[in-house]
Amino acid sequence: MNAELDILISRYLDGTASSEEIDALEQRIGGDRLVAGEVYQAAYLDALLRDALVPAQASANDLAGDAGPIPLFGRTPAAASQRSFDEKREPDQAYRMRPRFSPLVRWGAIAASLLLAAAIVWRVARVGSNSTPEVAAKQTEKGPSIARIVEGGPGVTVERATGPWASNEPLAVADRVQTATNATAIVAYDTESTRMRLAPNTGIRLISDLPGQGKRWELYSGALSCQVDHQSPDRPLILMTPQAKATVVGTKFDLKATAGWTRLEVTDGTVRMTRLSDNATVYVSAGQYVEVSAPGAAAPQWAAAPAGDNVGAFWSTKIKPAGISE
Amino acid sequence: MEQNEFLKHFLPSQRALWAYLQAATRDVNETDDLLQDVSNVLWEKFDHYDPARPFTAWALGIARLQVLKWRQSKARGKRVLSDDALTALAEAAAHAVEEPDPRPALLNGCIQALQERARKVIEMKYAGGLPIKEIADQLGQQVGAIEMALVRARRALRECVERKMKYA
Repeated sequence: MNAELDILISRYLDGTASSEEIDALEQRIGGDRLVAGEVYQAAYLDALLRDALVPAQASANDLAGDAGPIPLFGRTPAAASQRSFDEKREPDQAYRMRPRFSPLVRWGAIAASLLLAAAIVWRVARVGSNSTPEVAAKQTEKGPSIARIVEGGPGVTVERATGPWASNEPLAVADRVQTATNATAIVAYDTESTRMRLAPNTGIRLISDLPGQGKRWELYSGALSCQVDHQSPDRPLILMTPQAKATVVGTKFDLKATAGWTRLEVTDGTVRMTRLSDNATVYVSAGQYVEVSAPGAAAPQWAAAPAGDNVGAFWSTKIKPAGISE
Repeated sequence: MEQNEFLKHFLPSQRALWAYLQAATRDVNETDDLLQDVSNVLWEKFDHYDPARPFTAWALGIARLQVLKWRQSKARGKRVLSDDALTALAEAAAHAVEEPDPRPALLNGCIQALQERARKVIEMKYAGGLPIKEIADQLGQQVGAIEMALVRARRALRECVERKMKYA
Protein backbone atom coordinates (compact mmCIF):
# COMPACT_ATOMS: atom_id res chain seq x y z
CA MET A 1 0.00 0.00 0.00
CA ASN A 2 1.33 3.45 -0.80
CA ALA A 3 2.11 5.93 1.94
CA GLU A 4 -0.48 8.45 0.82
CA LEU A 5 -3.29 5.89 1.05
CA ASP A 6 -1.92 4.75 4.40
CA ILE A 7 -2.19 8.28 5.76
CA LEU A 8 -5.64 8.79 4.25
CA ILE A 9 -6.99 5.63 5.87
CA SER A 10 -5.44 6.50 9.22
CA ARG A 11 -6.91 9.98 9.14
CA TYR A 12 -10.29 8.55 8.16
CA LEU A 13 -10.34 6.02 11.02
CA ASP A 14 -8.96 8.50 13.55
CA GLY A 15 -11.73 10.94 12.69
CA THR A 16 -9.36 13.69 11.53
CA ALA A 17 -10.03 13.43 7.78
CA SER A 18 -11.71 16.37 6.05
CA SER A 19 -14.87 15.94 3.95
CA GLU A 20 -12.75 16.15 0.82
CA GLU A 21 -10.46 13.41 2.08
CA ILE A 22 -13.44 11.19 2.92
CA ASP A 23 -14.84 11.83 -0.58
CA ALA A 24 -11.49 10.82 -2.05
CA LEU A 25 -11.33 7.66 0.04
CA GLU A 26 -14.90 6.76 -0.85
CA GLN A 27 -14.08 7.06 -4.54
CA ARG A 28 -11.05 4.88 -4.16
CA ILE A 29 -13.01 2.24 -2.25
CA GLY A 30 -15.59 2.20 -5.07
CA GLY A 31 -12.94 2.02 -7.76
CA ASP A 32 -10.65 -0.55 -6.23
CA ARG A 33 -11.84 -3.36 -3.97
CA LEU A 34 -8.32 -3.73 -2.62
CA VAL A 35 -8.67 -0.30 -1.01
CA ALA A 36 -11.81 -1.50 0.80
CA GLY A 37 -9.73 -4.39 2.07
CA GLU A 38 -7.04 -2.01 3.32
CA VAL A 39 -9.60 0.11 5.20
CA TYR A 40 -11.05 -2.99 6.79
CA GLN A 41 -7.62 -4.34 7.74
CA ALA A 42 -6.73 -1.02 9.36
CA ALA A 43 -9.96 -1.11 11.39
CA TYR A 44 -9.24 -4.71 12.28
CA LEU A 45 -5.84 -3.68 13.61
CA ASP A 46 -7.66 -1.12 15.77
CA ALA A 47 -9.72 -3.98 17.20
CA LEU A 48 -6.62 -6.07 17.85
CA LEU A 49 -4.86 -3.17 19.56
CA ARG A 50 -7.81 -2.48 21.80
CA ASP A 51 -7.92 -6.14 22.63
CA ALA A 52 -4.21 -6.26 23.39
CA LEU A 53 -3.79 -3.04 25.32
CA VAL A 54 -6.95 -2.41 27.33
CA PRO A 55 -6.89 -5.72 29.21
CA ALA A 56 -3.16 -5.43 29.81
CA GLN A 57 -3.69 -2.13 31.58
CA ALA A 58 -6.70 -3.33 33.51
CA SER A 59 -4.91 -6.34 34.89
CA ALA A 60 -1.66 -4.56 35.59
CA ASN A 61 -2.74 -3.61 39.06
CA ASP A 62 -3.86 -7.10 39.83
CA LEU A 63 -5.73 -5.71 42.77
CA ALA A 64 -7.88 -8.64 43.58
CA GLY A 65 -5.08 -11.09 43.27
CA ASP A 66 -7.02 -13.12 40.74
CA ALA A 67 -7.28 -10.58 37.97
CA GLY A 68 -6.71 -12.12 34.59
CA PRO A 69 -6.79 -10.46 31.21
CA ILE A 70 -10.14 -8.92 30.50
CA PRO A 71 -11.08 -9.69 26.93
CA LEU A 72 -12.10 -7.14 24.33
CA PHE A 73 -15.84 -6.57 24.37
CA GLY A 74 -15.83 -8.19 27.80
CA ARG A 75 -16.57 -11.63 26.42
CA THR A 76 -14.91 -14.95 26.51
CA PRO A 77 -16.44 -18.01 24.96
CA ALA A 78 -16.53 -19.66 28.36
CA ALA A 79 -18.16 -16.68 29.97
CA ALA A 80 -20.69 -16.26 27.27
CA SER A 81 -21.57 -19.90 27.05
CA GLN A 82 -22.70 -19.79 30.66
CA ARG A 83 -25.34 -17.21 29.89
CA SER A 84 -28.95 -18.12 29.75
CA PHE A 85 -30.61 -17.14 26.53
CA ASP A 86 -34.08 -17.72 27.86
CA GLU A 87 -34.51 -14.00 27.34
CA LYS A 88 -35.19 -14.70 23.70
CA ARG A 89 -38.48 -16.25 24.63
CA GLU A 90 -39.29 -14.09 27.63
CA PRO A 91 -41.45 -11.01 27.48
CA ASP A 92 -39.68 -7.75 27.97
CA GLN A 93 -40.37 -7.70 31.69
CA ALA A 94 -37.63 -5.41 32.83
CA TYR A 95 -38.49 -2.88 30.20
CA ARG A 96 -42.13 -2.82 31.14
CA MET A 97 -41.24 -2.22 34.78
CA ARG A 98 -40.16 1.31 33.93
CA PRO A 99 -42.57 4.20 33.44
CA ARG A 100 -42.09 6.04 30.17
CA PHE A 101 -41.78 9.77 30.04
CA SER A 102 -42.27 11.85 26.96
CA PRO A 103 -39.07 13.21 25.42
CA LEU A 104 -40.25 16.75 26.17
CA VAL A 105 -40.66 16.04 29.89
CA ARG A 106 -37.37 14.20 29.99
CA TRP A 107 -35.41 16.88 28.21
CA GLY A 108 -37.10 19.54 30.34
CA ALA A 109 -36.05 17.77 33.50
CA ILE A 110 -32.53 17.33 32.22
CA ALA A 111 -32.27 20.98 31.22
CA ALA A 112 -33.52 22.10 34.65
CA SER A 113 -31.07 19.77 36.34
CA LEU A 114 -28.21 21.09 34.30
CA LEU A 115 -29.11 24.66 35.19
CA LEU A 116 -29.12 23.73 38.85
CA ALA A 117 -25.88 21.81 38.48
CA ALA A 118 -24.23 24.72 36.72
CA ALA A 119 -25.00 26.90 39.75
CA ILE A 120 -22.99 24.68 42.07
CA VAL A 121 -19.44 25.74 42.77
CA TRP A 122 -17.18 23.45 44.66
CA ARG A 123 -14.49 24.64 46.99
CA VAL A 124 -11.51 22.43 46.91
CA ALA A 125 -8.62 22.59 49.34
CA ARG A 126 -5.16 21.82 48.15
CA VAL A 127 -2.89 19.95 50.50
CA GLY A 128 -0.49 17.14 49.97
CA SER A 129 2.27 15.88 47.78
CA ASN A 130 2.45 14.51 44.26
CA SER A 131 1.52 11.01 45.15
CA THR A 132 -0.62 11.51 48.25
CA PRO A 133 -3.59 13.81 47.78
CA GLU A 134 -5.01 15.34 50.94
CA VAL A 135 -8.35 17.02 51.16
CA ALA A 136 -8.43 19.51 48.35
CA ALA A 137 -10.31 22.76 48.11
CA LYS A 138 -10.14 25.03 45.13
CA GLN A 139 -12.62 27.41 43.64
CA THR A 140 -13.46 26.17 40.20
CA GLU A 141 -14.91 28.04 37.31
CA LYS A 142 -18.12 27.22 35.53
CA GLY A 143 -17.58 25.22 32.36
CA PRO A 144 -17.22 21.63 31.32
CA SER A 145 -17.45 19.50 34.44
CA ILE A 146 -14.12 17.99 35.37
CA ALA A 147 -13.33 15.36 37.96
CA ARG A 148 -11.07 15.92 40.95
CA ILE A 149 -10.17 14.11 44.12
CA VAL A 150 -11.85 16.24 46.77
CA GLU A 151 -11.19 13.95 49.68
CA GLY A 152 -8.31 11.60 50.12
CA GLY A 153 -5.27 10.85 52.19
CA PRO A 154 -1.84 9.29 52.22
CA GLY A 155 -3.24 5.99 51.04
CA VAL A 156 -4.63 7.44 47.82
CA THR A 157 -2.46 7.48 44.73
CA VAL A 158 -2.97 8.65 41.19
CA GLU A 159 -1.04 6.97 38.42
CA ARG A 160 -0.65 9.07 35.29
CA ALA A 161 0.96 7.56 32.23
CA THR A 162 2.33 10.82 30.93
CA GLY A 163 4.08 11.96 34.08
CA PRO A 164 3.60 12.88 37.74
CA TRP A 165 0.24 14.06 38.95
CA ALA A 166 -0.04 17.04 41.31
CA SER A 167 -2.67 16.81 44.03
CA ASN A 168 -4.65 19.83 42.88
CA GLU A 169 -4.83 18.78 39.25
CA PRO A 170 -8.05 17.61 37.62
CA LEU A 171 -8.15 13.94 36.72
CA ALA A 172 -7.45 13.27 33.05
CA VAL A 173 -8.30 10.44 30.71
CA ALA A 174 -6.27 7.31 31.50
CA ASP A 175 -5.53 8.41 35.09
CA ARG A 176 -5.86 5.65 37.66
CA VAL A 177 -6.96 6.37 41.20
CA GLN A 178 -6.14 3.72 43.80
CA THR A 179 -6.98 3.52 47.49
CA ALA A 180 -4.88 1.47 49.89
CA THR A 181 -6.25 -0.98 52.44
CA ASN A 182 -6.82 1.72 55.04
CA ALA A 183 -7.81 4.62 52.80
CA THR A 184 -10.88 6.02 51.09
CA ALA A 185 -11.28 8.80 48.55
CA ILE A 186 -14.00 10.91 47.01
CA VAL A 187 -13.93 11.90 43.36
CA ALA A 188 -16.30 14.74 42.50
CA TYR A 189 -17.23 16.72 39.42
CA ASP A 190 -16.76 20.47 39.54
CA THR A 191 -20.05 21.75 38.19
CA GLU A 192 -22.41 19.07 39.39
CA SER A 193 -23.09 17.33 42.67
CA THR A 194 -21.91 13.95 41.39
CA ARG A 195 -19.64 12.18 43.86
CA MET A 196 -18.01 8.77 43.79
CA ARG A 197 -16.68 7.41 47.08
CA LEU A 198 -13.94 4.82 46.71
CA ALA A 199 -13.83 2.22 49.45
CA PRO A 200 -10.48 0.88 50.70
CA ASN A 201 -8.64 -1.29 48.15
CA THR A 202 -10.46 0.21 45.20
CA GLY A 203 -9.10 1.14 41.79
CA ILE A 204 -10.77 3.21 39.09
CA ARG A 205 -9.60 4.61 35.77
CA LEU A 206 -11.07 7.39 33.64
CA ILE A 207 -11.54 5.82 30.21
CA SER A 208 -12.96 8.74 28.27
CA ASP A 209 -14.69 12.03 28.79
CA LEU A 210 -15.99 13.53 25.61
CA PRO A 211 -19.38 14.94 24.63
CA GLY A 212 -21.38 12.18 23.00
CA GLN A 213 -19.36 9.46 24.69
CA GLY A 214 -20.11 10.04 28.33
CA LYS A 215 -17.94 10.16 31.39
CA ARG A 216 -16.65 6.60 31.25
CA TRP A 217 -14.90 5.12 34.26
CA GLU A 218 -13.60 1.66 34.78
CA LEU A 219 -13.92 0.10 38.24
CA TYR A 220 -11.43 -2.70 38.02
CA SER A 221 -11.60 -3.77 41.63
CA GLY A 222 -13.14 -2.67 44.90
CA ALA A 223 -16.31 -0.78 45.69
CA LEU A 224 -17.80 2.58 44.78
CA SER A 225 -20.66 4.42 46.41
CA CYS A 226 -22.04 6.97 44.01
CA GLN A 227 -24.38 9.90 44.22
CA VAL A 228 -24.96 11.04 40.68
CA ASP A 229 -26.53 14.29 39.61
CA HIS A 230 -28.88 14.25 36.64
CA GLN A 231 -26.68 13.80 33.60
CA SER A 232 -26.73 15.33 30.17
CA PRO A 233 -28.02 12.74 27.66
CA ASP A 234 -24.89 13.12 25.57
CA ARG A 235 -22.57 12.82 28.56
CA PRO A 236 -23.99 10.29 31.02
CA LEU A 237 -21.85 8.70 33.71
CA ILE A 238 -20.90 5.21 32.57
CA LEU A 239 -19.14 2.80 34.90
CA MET A 240 -17.49 -0.26 33.43
CA THR A 241 -16.43 -3.35 35.36
CA PRO A 242 -14.88 -6.52 33.94
CA GLN A 243 -18.35 -8.01 33.62
CA ALA A 244 -20.78 -5.15 33.20
CA LYS A 245 -21.55 -1.59 32.23
CA ALA A 246 -23.75 0.71 34.33
CA THR A 247 -25.21 3.74 32.57
CA VAL A 248 -26.38 6.37 34.99
CA VAL A 249 -28.54 9.39 34.40
CA GLY A 250 -28.98 10.51 38.01
CA THR A 251 -29.25 8.34 41.10
CA LYS A 252 -27.59 6.90 44.21
CA PHE A 253 -26.08 3.46 44.09
CA ASP A 254 -23.24 1.19 45.18
CA LEU A 255 -21.13 -0.64 42.63
CA LYS A 256 -18.67 -3.31 43.70
CA ALA A 257 -16.37 -5.38 41.54
CA THR A 258 -13.63 -7.94 41.63
CA ALA A 259 -12.02 -9.43 38.55
CA GLY A 260 -14.82 -12.04 38.45
CA TRP A 261 -17.83 -10.52 40.16
CA THR A 262 -19.86 -7.31 39.93
CA ARG A 263 -22.73 -6.19 42.14
CA LEU A 264 -24.92 -3.11 41.66
CA GLU A 265 -27.24 -1.93 44.43
CA VAL A 266 -29.46 1.07 43.71
CA THR A 267 -30.67 3.33 46.49
CA ASP A 268 -32.45 5.97 44.47
CA GLY A 269 -33.40 6.34 40.80
CA THR A 270 -32.65 3.81 38.08
CA VAL A 271 -29.46 2.48 36.54
CA ARG A 272 -29.26 0.60 33.26
CA MET A 273 -26.89 -2.33 33.63
CA THR A 274 -25.43 -4.12 30.62
CA ARG A 275 -23.89 -7.57 30.98
CA LEU A 276 -20.83 -7.48 28.73
CA SER A 277 -20.73 -11.21 27.98
CA ASP A 278 -23.93 -11.08 25.92
CA ASN A 279 -25.00 -7.43 26.02
CA ALA A 280 -28.16 -8.34 27.91
CA THR A 281 -29.59 -5.36 29.77
CA VAL A 282 -31.61 -4.83 32.91
CA TYR A 283 -32.89 -1.73 34.66
CA VAL A 284 -32.16 -1.66 38.37
CA SER A 285 -34.30 0.64 40.48
CA ALA A 286 -34.29 1.83 44.08
CA GLY A 287 -34.24 -1.08 46.50
CA GLN A 288 -33.06 -3.53 43.88
CA TYR A 289 -29.73 -5.12 43.07
CA VAL A 290 -28.19 -7.31 40.40
CA GLU A 291 -24.99 -9.31 40.14
CA VAL A 292 -22.84 -10.45 37.23
CA SER A 293 -20.15 -13.06 37.61
CA ALA A 294 -17.63 -14.81 35.41
CA PRO A 295 -17.78 -18.59 35.19
CA GLY A 296 -16.13 -20.25 38.13
CA ALA A 297 -15.51 -16.96 39.93
CA ALA A 298 -15.52 -17.24 43.71
CA ALA A 299 -18.27 -15.16 45.28
CA PRO A 300 -16.88 -12.27 47.33
CA GLN A 301 -18.17 -11.79 50.86
CA TRP A 302 -20.43 -9.00 49.77
CA ALA A 303 -22.14 -11.05 47.03
CA ALA A 304 -25.89 -11.72 47.28
CA ALA A 305 -26.25 -9.92 50.60
CA PRO A 306 -29.90 -10.02 51.69
CA ALA A 307 -30.74 -6.42 50.91
CA GLY A 308 -33.25 -5.44 48.26
CA ASP A 309 -34.77 -7.42 45.43
CA ASN A 310 -32.58 -9.28 42.99
CA VAL A 311 -33.60 -8.36 39.43
CA GLY A 312 -31.23 -10.93 37.95
CA ALA A 313 -34.19 -12.80 36.44
CA PHE A 314 -34.98 -9.89 34.15
CA TRP A 315 -31.91 -9.68 31.95
CA SER A 316 -33.05 -9.13 28.40
CA THR A 317 -31.25 -8.95 25.11
CA LYS A 318 -34.25 -7.28 23.54
CA ILE A 319 -34.53 -4.23 25.72
CA LYS A 320 -34.27 -1.03 23.81
CA PRO A 321 -33.09 1.87 25.88
CA ALA A 322 -35.85 4.20 26.92
CA GLY A 323 -35.21 7.44 28.65
CA ILE A 324 -31.48 6.99 28.46
CA SER A 325 -29.33 8.26 25.70
CA GLU A 326 -25.98 6.67 25.58
CA MET B 1 -28.52 -25.85 22.93
CA GLU B 2 -29.54 -23.18 20.47
CA GLN B 3 -27.64 -20.57 22.49
CA ASN B 4 -24.47 -22.64 22.43
CA GLU B 5 -24.79 -23.00 18.69
CA PHE B 6 -25.26 -19.25 18.33
CA LEU B 7 -22.26 -18.47 20.50
CA LYS B 8 -20.12 -20.96 18.66
CA HIS B 9 -20.65 -18.89 15.53
CA PHE B 10 -20.99 -15.43 16.99
CA LEU B 11 -17.96 -15.20 19.27
CA PRO B 12 -15.31 -15.82 16.59
CA SER B 13 -16.96 -13.26 14.31
CA GLN B 14 -17.14 -10.43 16.87
CA ARG B 15 -13.82 -8.85 16.02
CA ALA B 16 -14.61 -8.78 12.31
CA LEU B 17 -17.98 -7.22 13.06
CA TRP B 18 -16.41 -4.65 15.34
CA ALA B 19 -13.80 -3.76 12.73
CA TYR B 20 -16.45 -3.33 10.05
CA LEU B 21 -18.61 -1.16 12.31
CA GLN B 22 -15.58 0.88 13.32
CA ALA B 23 -14.68 1.42 9.67
CA ALA B 24 -18.22 2.67 9.10
CA THR B 25 -18.68 4.85 12.19
CA ARG B 26 -15.11 5.88 13.11
CA ASP B 27 -16.27 6.15 16.71
CA VAL B 28 -15.41 3.51 19.31
CA ASN B 29 -18.46 4.11 21.45
CA GLU B 30 -20.86 4.19 18.51
CA THR B 31 -19.20 0.97 17.37
CA ASP B 32 -19.68 -0.69 20.76
CA ASP B 33 -23.34 0.32 20.84
CA LEU B 34 -23.93 -0.79 17.24
CA LEU B 35 -22.30 -4.13 17.98
CA GLN B 36 -24.80 -4.56 20.79
CA ASP B 37 -27.66 -3.86 18.39
CA VAL B 38 -26.20 -6.19 15.78
CA SER B 39 -25.77 -9.02 18.27
CA ASN B 40 -29.42 -8.61 19.31
CA VAL B 41 -30.60 -8.79 15.70
CA LEU B 42 -28.36 -11.77 14.96
CA TRP B 43 -29.80 -13.62 17.93
CA GLU B 44 -33.36 -12.75 16.93
CA LYS B 45 -32.76 -13.89 13.35
CA PHE B 46 -30.58 -16.87 14.16
CA ASP B 47 -33.43 -19.24 13.30
CA HIS B 48 -33.09 -18.01 9.69
CA TYR B 49 -29.35 -18.56 9.48
CA ASP B 50 -28.32 -21.19 6.94
CA PRO B 51 -25.44 -23.17 8.49
CA ALA B 52 -24.20 -24.00 5.00
CA ARG B 53 -23.17 -20.37 4.59
CA PRO B 54 -20.30 -18.67 6.41
CA PHE B 55 -21.71 -17.09 9.58
CA THR B 56 -19.48 -14.01 9.45
CA ALA B 57 -20.60 -13.11 5.94
CA TRP B 58 -24.24 -13.43 7.03
CA ALA B 59 -23.56 -11.39 10.15
CA LEU B 60 -21.75 -8.69 8.16
CA GLY B 61 -24.77 -8.39 5.87
CA ILE B 62 -26.95 -7.70 8.89
CA ALA B 63 -24.35 -5.34 10.32
CA ARG B 64 -24.41 -3.37 7.05
CA LEU B 65 -28.18 -2.92 7.36
CA GLN B 66 -27.77 -1.77 10.97
CA VAL B 67 -25.18 0.77 9.84
CA LEU B 68 -27.60 2.13 7.26
CA LYS B 69 -30.28 2.48 9.96
CA TRP B 70 -27.77 4.17 12.25
CA ARG B 71 -26.84 6.58 9.51
CA GLN B 72 -30.46 7.61 9.07
CA SER B 73 -30.97 8.31 12.75
CA LYS B 74 -27.86 9.05 14.79
CA ALA B 75 -25.37 10.03 12.20
CA ARG B 76 -27.17 13.06 10.84
CA GLY B 77 -24.63 15.71 10.07
CA LYS B 78 -21.77 13.25 10.22
CA ARG B 79 -20.08 12.29 6.99
CA VAL B 80 -20.63 8.57 6.47
CA LEU B 81 -19.54 6.45 3.52
CA SER B 82 -21.99 5.74 0.71
CA ASP B 83 -24.00 2.52 0.46
CA ASP B 84 -21.64 1.24 -2.22
CA ALA B 85 -18.58 1.90 -0.11
CA LEU B 86 -20.19 0.28 2.95
CA THR B 87 -21.08 -2.76 0.85
CA ALA B 88 -17.52 -2.95 -0.48
CA LEU B 89 -16.21 -2.82 3.08
CA ALA B 90 -18.57 -5.61 4.18
CA GLU B 91 -17.45 -7.76 1.25
CA ALA B 92 -13.80 -7.06 2.02
CA ALA B 93 -14.39 -8.00 5.65
CA ALA B 94 -16.11 -11.25 4.70
CA HIS B 95 -13.18 -12.20 2.49
CA ALA B 96 -10.59 -11.29 5.09
CA VAL B 97 -11.93 -13.49 7.88
CA GLU B 98 -9.43 -16.04 9.12
CA GLU B 99 -10.50 -18.64 11.64
CA PRO B 100 -8.69 -19.26 13.83
CA ASP B 101 -6.94 -15.92 13.60
CA PRO B 102 -3.28 -16.14 14.70
CA ARG B 103 -2.77 -12.37 14.80
CA PRO B 104 -3.91 -11.61 18.37
CA ALA B 105 -1.28 -13.99 19.74
CA LEU B 106 1.44 -12.35 17.66
CA LEU B 107 0.57 -8.73 18.22
CA ASN B 108 1.86 -8.35 21.79
CA GLY B 109 5.40 -9.21 20.80
CA CYS B 110 5.19 -6.71 17.96
CA ILE B 111 3.96 -3.96 20.30
CA GLN B 112 6.91 -4.60 22.59
CA ALA B 113 9.24 -4.43 19.59
CA LEU B 114 8.11 -0.91 18.70
CA GLN B 115 10.43 1.98 19.43
CA GLU B 116 9.65 3.60 22.78
CA ARG B 117 8.06 6.74 21.37
CA ALA B 118 5.88 4.80 18.95
CA ARG B 119 4.80 2.44 21.70
CA LYS B 120 3.92 5.34 23.97
CA VAL B 121 1.73 6.95 21.29
CA ILE B 122 0.00 3.63 20.59
CA GLU B 123 -0.63 3.07 24.29
CA MET B 124 -2.01 6.56 24.78
CA LYS B 125 -4.29 6.10 21.77
CA TYR B 126 -5.61 2.63 22.55
CA ALA B 127 -5.06 1.95 26.27
CA GLY B 128 -5.73 5.54 27.25
CA GLY B 129 -8.40 6.16 24.64
CA LEU B 130 -7.03 9.64 24.05
CA PRO B 131 -7.89 11.66 20.96
CA ILE B 132 -4.94 12.66 18.81
CA LYS B 133 -5.10 16.29 19.83
CA GLU B 134 -4.85 15.36 23.51
CA ILE B 135 -1.91 13.07 22.83
CA ALA B 136 -0.22 15.92 21.00
CA ASP B 137 -0.92 18.31 23.89
CA GLN B 138 0.38 15.89 26.50
CA LEU B 139 3.55 15.14 24.56
CA GLY B 140 4.05 18.76 23.52
CA GLN B 141 3.99 17.95 19.81
CA GLN B 142 2.06 18.96 16.75
CA VAL B 143 -1.09 17.02 15.81
CA GLY B 144 0.44 16.20 12.45
CA ALA B 145 3.48 14.65 14.10
CA ILE B 146 1.29 12.38 16.23
CA GLU B 147 -0.79 11.40 13.17
CA MET B 148 2.36 10.40 11.35
CA ALA B 149 3.70 8.56 14.39
CA LEU B 150 0.46 6.54 14.51
CA VAL B 151 0.58 5.81 10.77
CA ARG B 152 4.15 4.52 11.06
CA ALA B 153 3.50 2.54 14.22
CA ARG B 154 0.44 0.82 12.75
CA ARG B 155 2.33 0.07 9.56
CA ALA B 156 5.19 -1.39 11.58
CA LEU B 157 2.77 -3.51 13.59
CA ARG B 158 1.05 -4.88 10.48
CA GLU B 159 4.34 -5.73 8.87
CA CYS B 160 5.64 -7.33 12.05
CA VAL B 161 2.53 -9.50 12.44
CA GLU B 162 2.59 -10.52 8.77
CA ARG B 163 6.27 -11.40 9.04
CA LYS B 164 5.65 -13.53 12.11
CA MET B 165 2.73 -15.28 10.41
CA LYS B 166 4.94 -16.09 7.48
CA TYR B 167 7.57 -17.75 9.59
CA ALA B 168 5.32 -19.19 12.28
